[in-house]
Amino acid sequence: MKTQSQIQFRKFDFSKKLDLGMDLLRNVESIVKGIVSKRDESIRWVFQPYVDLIDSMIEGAENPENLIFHNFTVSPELIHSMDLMSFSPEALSFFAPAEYVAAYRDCSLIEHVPEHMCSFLSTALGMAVSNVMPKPKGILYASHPCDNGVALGQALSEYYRVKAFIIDSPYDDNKKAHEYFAGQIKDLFRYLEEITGKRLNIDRLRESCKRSDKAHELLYQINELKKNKPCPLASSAILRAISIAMYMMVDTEDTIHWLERLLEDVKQRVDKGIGGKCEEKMRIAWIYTLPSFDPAIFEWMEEKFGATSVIFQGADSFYWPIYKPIRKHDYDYSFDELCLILANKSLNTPMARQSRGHLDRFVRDTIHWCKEWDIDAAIFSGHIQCKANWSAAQVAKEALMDELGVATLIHEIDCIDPRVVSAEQIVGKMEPFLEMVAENKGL
Amino acid sequence: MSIVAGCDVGSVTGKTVILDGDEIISSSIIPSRPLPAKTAGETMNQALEKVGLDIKELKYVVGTGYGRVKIPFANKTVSEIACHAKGVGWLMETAGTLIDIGGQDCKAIALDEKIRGKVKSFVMNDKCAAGTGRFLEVMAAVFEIEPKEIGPLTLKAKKIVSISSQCSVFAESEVVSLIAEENDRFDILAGVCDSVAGRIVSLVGRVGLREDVAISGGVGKNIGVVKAIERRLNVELKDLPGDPQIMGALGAAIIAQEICSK
Repeated sequence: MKTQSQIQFRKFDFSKKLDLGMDLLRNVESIVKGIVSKRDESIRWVFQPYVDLIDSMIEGAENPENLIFHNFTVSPELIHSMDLMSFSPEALSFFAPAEYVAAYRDCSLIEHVPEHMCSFLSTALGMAVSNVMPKPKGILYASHPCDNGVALGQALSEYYRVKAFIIDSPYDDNKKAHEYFAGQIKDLFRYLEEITGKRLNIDRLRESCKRSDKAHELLYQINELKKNKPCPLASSAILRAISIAMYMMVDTEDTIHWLERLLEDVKQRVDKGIGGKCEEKMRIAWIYTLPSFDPAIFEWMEEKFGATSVIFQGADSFYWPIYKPIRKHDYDYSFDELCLILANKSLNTPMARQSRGHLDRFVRDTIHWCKEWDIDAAIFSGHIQCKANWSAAQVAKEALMDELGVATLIHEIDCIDPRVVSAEQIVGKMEPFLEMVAENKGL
Repeated sequence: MSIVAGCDVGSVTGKTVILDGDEIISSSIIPSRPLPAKTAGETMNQALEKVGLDIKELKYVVGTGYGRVKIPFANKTVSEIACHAKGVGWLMETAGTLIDIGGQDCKAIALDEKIRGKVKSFVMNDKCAAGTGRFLEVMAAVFEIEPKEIGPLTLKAKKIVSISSQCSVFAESEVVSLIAEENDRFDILAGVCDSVAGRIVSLVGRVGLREDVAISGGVGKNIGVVKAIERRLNVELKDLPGDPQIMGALGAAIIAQEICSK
């Protein structure tokens, strides 16, 4: 009798000589659209944010005079409202095949990037020095979530000889802090006006914020429905799709339409009691990042343990109530008020919220998710470079056990470079942990 | 009750325990071969031969250890953490904390207060050789002795020479330097064991120390490491009524027996 899982983890060949100067964007487009096209037609729409983002990046590359590089925690509303095109180098890192991630990372080491820098950032720099990204008109980076992000922004600025604006995020999370950040946003608009010669159009900013609000409201409803058992949205691919849509395209009509369709789909699944592919036996919260280089890790969790990934920080903390100075039905906010709204949004996106300031915010958010979504086990997986979060991990673990009796696994990963920690190593750590959770649940 | 077995394929040794009901009727420990399946086959055959059994007479086999998925005759695989906890809990009802130091990793496991052998929490170090059997192997090679000789030699130490490097490679260089400085070899070896203890004690701190404390894995036989852990934790490690190295295989066999009893 054989009962072992037959799931095969991806094998990577890092010995191949790669053409790092190829048209990476087109190559990634071909890969992503190829993967999506192989899916059943009835569910292809679910992956639309992947396609939309690639399309927008290609469009941006074809219009470099309007192209603004930004890190993922700089809200795209700021760029789109100036009639400019957003392009996140880290997003291209995310899409690149693992073998290319490895090769571009190695390239970045030549540019004196420390090898412990996470691959989202170092790969982006490697792509820059390999000339596979277009030269941008401007560069916007933020001091959250990490110092290395700032370093990347500065490195890109030097490489492309383009003036960068590093938006400074406050440590605290109160009215004064938000006002400070709103001031930073005003400076950011001045920077964009200066480098592009364009003028900020308040009406356009208002529309952008309005669409973004709508997207947040839709995600709020979707996430509330995830409290149902089985979880109606039990797919790591969709969690990542949400993350892409909300980080990169939150203020677009396409994102709103996609979220509306997702909400309707989730409602129907709740009505019919449909969960994931496997029976839901335990509910998992990924309280920080998750491995993206091999979906088989999630298939293994589901198949072997019935472990459903319900919460993912990168997809679940976008919906915190949006601050509005005065509730206005006609959305007739002043420029100052819009900047405050944007400050609130920016500071409350995933990582921007939890990786900034006092670690209590990370801990309380984690407890909130695990309590409200009735989570059985939490997983903190993160890159060792993310020092702010690693300092919170053990505190969160103890708090989750003390307050909710929820066990936490803490382990190191790199989201997109399997050379750091392989799928087999990740599963090797998760297996005893999930065995323990299963036994505690009497499974 | 049935005849069942547990097979633990580790990085350094392969172990098998055969249970007839709740009695251990045979066990085996062999050095690991390059192929986990070969290690599993050899250790299982050795254990079976000792009691004149054929593998077909085993009702159920649970595999564990890093090579568990490669054990061709395993009906089920379970992680070594669950198996070590099960084995130690079976032998020692009062165990509250289990330290498992294997060839390539080390773990601190908090055991449930109410249910014997149940894992409550654990932390592990599997990113580097520090605090593992491999670290001791490297150090033994520097002194041109067998790893099993390290423990007894440390009992002759007059003091502990501190090894500041955690990385095995750097520690090896540091030990070579300490030898060149004519430090006493017993004192250096005591420092080597203390270094291993330092790694594991930091893990214990993260799961929380609760007595009684037991140690399993091959390094559990090293008196130098055991004494160093006791000194650092300020507790006495309880002797297991069995070979600490076979706890994983024993736990796997107990799980096999539990499955057959359902």
